[in-house]
Amino acid sequence: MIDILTQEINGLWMVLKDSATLPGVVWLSVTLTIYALAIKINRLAGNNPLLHPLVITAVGVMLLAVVTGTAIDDYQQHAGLLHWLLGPATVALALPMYAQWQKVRELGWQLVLAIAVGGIIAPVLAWLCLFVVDAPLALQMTMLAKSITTPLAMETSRVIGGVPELAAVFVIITGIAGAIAAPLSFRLFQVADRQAQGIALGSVAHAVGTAKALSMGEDVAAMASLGLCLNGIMTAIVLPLVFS
Amino acid sequence: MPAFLVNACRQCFGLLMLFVFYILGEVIVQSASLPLPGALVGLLLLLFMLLFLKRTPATIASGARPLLSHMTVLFVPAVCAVMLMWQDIEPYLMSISAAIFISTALSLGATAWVAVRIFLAAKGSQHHD
Repeated sequence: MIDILTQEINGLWMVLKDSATLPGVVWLSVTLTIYALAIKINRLAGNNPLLHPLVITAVGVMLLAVVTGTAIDDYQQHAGLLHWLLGPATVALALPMYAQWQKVRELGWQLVLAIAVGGIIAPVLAWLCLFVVDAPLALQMTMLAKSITTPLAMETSRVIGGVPELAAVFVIITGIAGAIAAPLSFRLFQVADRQAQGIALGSVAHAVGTAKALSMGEDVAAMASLGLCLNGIMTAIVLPLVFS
Repeated sequence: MPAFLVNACRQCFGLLMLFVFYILGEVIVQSASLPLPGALVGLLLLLFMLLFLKRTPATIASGARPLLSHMTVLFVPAVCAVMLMWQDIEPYLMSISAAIFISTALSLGATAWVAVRIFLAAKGSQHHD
């Protein structure tokens, strides 16, 4: 137990040491600067999901890495602090979840059931698309975690034999696709109920879906964040139990 | 002590608490070899603590705020790594796109459709009670 603790603290120490080097400081500041610009651009574009800050920042960093001849492995090491902070950030999700707790108790089993349905349909449909073409197992496993919030998806896919980095990409594209497709999809299935729409957006398209829900109204967004929270926890517990 | 220093200390302490919960989760998962993400266990520990306290301590809230509102930037290193995996993904680009776009659009509608029925059924049973 002490070994694991020292190993974890050592890991953090190495990350901090890498950040304190010149390339570390430069790449961290570059990433944060591009991110700050990306937020501004996204706001100017009326929060268009296609111009999600993550898309702009990642493309910007990749371009800069190519132009400066920096290998992506090196970039990952220099900016490792950002990656490490994902752990504590995941833990911090307990706060919004706690804030939603009262609502979960009020709405009861039907809420949990509705969210669980979304949590099962989306990954199973996505997984089927990869299963029929006999894609590598790691790819199939990664796809199973695509509907939940990115930090949980990355960790969960790692535990069940997927690729965390790929999970991050699948998750963000899922969110963007969901936010764009939502109005059409709800019309197709003739669902006008705002609560139901919110639950679908949160449990299928996580945080990007929840942002879309916010533009549809506070009540839709409240249901969406419930879907995001509950489905995130349920999927992150169920997938590892089933697959490992 | 000036107010901004107090706030900065509070924020640092809140962040430190989150670090502790995260590392605690990792240590528990690894020493008990649980098949769960360590960060998830840390999250659940913190959630149980909040449910027990019945409130969110201001220190933890101020430490969590920057992480929660700017979580997006923390994914940048991971997303960039896709450049390294491009060769492995490329042959499956069509099915990956189908998996993501079609399944997401269908799941959204289907989930909402089922949710409406579940709510109706719940309401129906309440009336009969």
